[in-house]
Amino acid sequence: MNGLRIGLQLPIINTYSGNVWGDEIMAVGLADALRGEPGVAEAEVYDLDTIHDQLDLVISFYAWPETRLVAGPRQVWWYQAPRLRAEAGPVTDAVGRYEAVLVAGPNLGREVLDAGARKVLFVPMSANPEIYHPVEPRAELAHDIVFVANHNRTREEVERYLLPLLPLGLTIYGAGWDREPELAAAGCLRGRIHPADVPAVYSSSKLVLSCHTPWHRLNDVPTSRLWEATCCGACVLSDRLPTAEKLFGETLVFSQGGAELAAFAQALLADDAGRQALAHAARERVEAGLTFRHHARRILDFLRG
Amino acid sequence: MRLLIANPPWTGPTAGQRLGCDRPGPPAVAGAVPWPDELACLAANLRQAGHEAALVDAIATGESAAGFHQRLTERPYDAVVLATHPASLEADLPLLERSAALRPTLLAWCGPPDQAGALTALEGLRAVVTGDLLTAVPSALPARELVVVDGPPLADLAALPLPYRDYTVHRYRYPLAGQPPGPQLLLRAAYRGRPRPAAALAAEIAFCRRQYPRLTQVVLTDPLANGGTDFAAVVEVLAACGLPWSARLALTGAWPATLTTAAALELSLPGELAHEAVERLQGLAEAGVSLTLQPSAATPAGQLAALASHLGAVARPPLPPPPTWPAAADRVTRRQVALAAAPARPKLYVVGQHLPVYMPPWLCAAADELGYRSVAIDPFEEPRDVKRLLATSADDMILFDRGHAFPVELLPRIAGRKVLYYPDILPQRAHGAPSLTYAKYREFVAAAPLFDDVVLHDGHALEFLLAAGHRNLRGVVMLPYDPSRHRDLGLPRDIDLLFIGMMSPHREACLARLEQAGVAVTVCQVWGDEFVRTLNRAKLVLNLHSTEQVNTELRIVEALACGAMVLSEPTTRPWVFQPGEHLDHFTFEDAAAKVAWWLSHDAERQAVVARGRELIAREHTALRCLQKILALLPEKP
Repeated sequence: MNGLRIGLQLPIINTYSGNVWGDEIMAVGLADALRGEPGVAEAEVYDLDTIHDQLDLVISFYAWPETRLVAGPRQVWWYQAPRLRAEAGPVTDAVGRYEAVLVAGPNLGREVLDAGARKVLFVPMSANPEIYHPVEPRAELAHDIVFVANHNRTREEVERYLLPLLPLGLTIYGAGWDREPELAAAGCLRGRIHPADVPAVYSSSKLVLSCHTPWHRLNDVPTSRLWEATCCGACVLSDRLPTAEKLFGETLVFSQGGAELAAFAQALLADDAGRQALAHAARERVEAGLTFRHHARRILDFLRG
Repeated sequence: MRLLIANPPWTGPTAGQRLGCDRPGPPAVAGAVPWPDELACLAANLRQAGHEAALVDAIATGESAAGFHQRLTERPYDAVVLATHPASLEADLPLLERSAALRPTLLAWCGPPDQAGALTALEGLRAVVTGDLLTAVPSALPARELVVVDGPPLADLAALPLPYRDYTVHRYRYPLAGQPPGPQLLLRAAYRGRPRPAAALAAEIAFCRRQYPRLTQVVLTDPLANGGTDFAAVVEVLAACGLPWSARLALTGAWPATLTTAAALELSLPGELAHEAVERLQGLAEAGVSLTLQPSAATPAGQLAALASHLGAVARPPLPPPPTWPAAADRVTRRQVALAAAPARPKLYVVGQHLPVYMPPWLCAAADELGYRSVAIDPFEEPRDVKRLLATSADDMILFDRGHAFPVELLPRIAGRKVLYYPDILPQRAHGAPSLTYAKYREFVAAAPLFDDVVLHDGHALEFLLAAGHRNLRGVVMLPYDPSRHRDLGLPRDIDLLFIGMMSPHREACLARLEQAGVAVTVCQVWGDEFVRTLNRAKLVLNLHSTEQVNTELRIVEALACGAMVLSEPTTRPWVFQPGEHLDHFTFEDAAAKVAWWLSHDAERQAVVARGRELIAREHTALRCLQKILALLPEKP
């Protein structure tokens, strides 16, 4: 077979029938984009059991030993999430095992450079526009404000970003939220959602909330929800992250949470034209340079260099 | 349990398919990557029963046997199920034995059931399963002693779960003229000769379309069309699935009208075709269905050619009759005889970090070359594996690279001969050595007496250690290099004087003094392939010790292997590399002059490099290194 054979490695795949991993959705999106690049014969998503040695390049979404280093292919790590298990040791110990490190935030870049990384490229997260694009709105998925995530937030984040939006019609999809009594009592929980339905949720709802996990906020790593929602034509309300604000500018509404967040949401819900203008500008911004297609080209150029 | 279900690599002269594929043996159609449906059903069934079951098809991915075994070494499977077939058994035997030595192994045999018993002669197997894997494997898994299980047919085919698939689903394909481009979903309408309900196929298509949106078409294999399946219902499902579809069918009985919605069909012709069948084929051709005709031996050649021409169809040559293979017992017995006839190979375990850039895998390869059976133990990747050393015998040898990450309390319980090959710097005297050196020495003192033999990489500390009472010191063997990794890449040498390495106070002081003397040094820290590429860009490589203590660093060997000349601080005596012959030494007083001279005398510099490379190729490969270590070890009493 001619052309580059690329494997994207995750610790777990095929999660669609359970608690869906955002990593898997991103990996599939990046694989699709890489596959579309000239000179790439194949790009597929693998887990620790299925990754194999008939590849030219492996991009691991977690560092060794949480992913494998198969002998033969070039090894690259995309640093975009913390360790899954603390006993795997500091991620910086793994830096020397990779030819290059892609980082989803500039702080992570400094961290791996200090640990001796040889080649580092800033590759923010993104979304696959072939999956995340505006679709026909569906009445049963139309909400004033929607948040799609599994519950791995702190109580403080629940209080700052979720509870203030309950009176304004917040609806939540994802697993684990029923352990928050206010949310369970409010009847706003819809449980798990299949990723194939997420574009319809984003396309049908007035506002999409983004609330990062503590690790992503502390490390200033904007997550894929920002891209997925904007690609679907949604207006996004997000917690504050400097890098997200640089990437998206004023096309998203950033807030410290609490009463400020509720006030922004209220104003946007009352302003159809303003919401649509923001959503349109955000989508244009992503499509101009922040899709996985753009990232794929940069990654391949970087590794060829 | 954590389980691996695998179609292992086919390492013989012909690659092919095995269990649950269309036609076990070498592929009948070029470009076909058959779907291992039966293994996928087994994986799904085991997952449904609560096991963590992974499916690996090494034939579809082209994985090497080494890669397959790396997985078995690194992943903590409680058991592995490996498919084998009469067509591949001969080639599979070494692979099956190696797998059985690594993990509890169940052999899924799709040859004649009465031959399964012969396979129990293979060393280390947990079970041989035959018949229906869905019933056989769950019965065999709990067994603690070798069993042969012939699984009865699954009682209720409606209980068959959707076959397990992951993203490798996109690899499987069956090429036919007239198919649209794009990844195919290969479906089988029958499971072990029994038809699947059309509703199950509809559920499988819907599930896969949702999970894997890249799939652009469906290809159905139905060997029972009109002979068992509710064929009309199956075709209805395909016609309604929303994707272009093709099918491979046996031509019997009546055809449903919706068959004309197919993009392409491959039809097996049982013999001479009746007029009515020819008319039906003509109807399909007129509806725009691309046809491929697969004759049997009974199909008249003249009729086939005329029909293909008339319909614009592709005519395949008749399939050869299935080959007959020697009985499994014959081949297993031959293997046993061959093993028995071969001299028993002692095992040599290499304990260390088994990454391609490190020494342990090179030593494993060298051990195999010297006639040992090498076993890689990586306490970093798979700490559980160190317990395997408790089962070694006195005839086995265990070579420890440095001994890091190894639980020293296990050492006294290991019966095999334990040899420590120590690559770090140790002190040369009782006082005054750098603190890091003494910290390493404290570790060394705690561990070294627990080994039978200790070999150092350099002689700098030999005298001191002998005086300190280390009676198991056997001698010095320089660290090896990997000629396949460290080599002259032919790059332009655009760096005059290069230093690669970690900084230390001593090295920083040396570089500062060289700078004062007017010597410009390119300094960098790089690893792996970049390390090799950077050495390849240098004319001169500077070798600086880490501390004030003298040493003979591996960097000298690596630089020479990459075609660079070495300018070094004086190395340990007696010199392994002679100044002026294989490298040059410098002092701070003569450094500037020497650098200038060597840079301006290309021919002389290249001659020194050539002599150095000849020396290391002769004396410092992993093979020579291991030979030297073994030669230093005294006979065991």
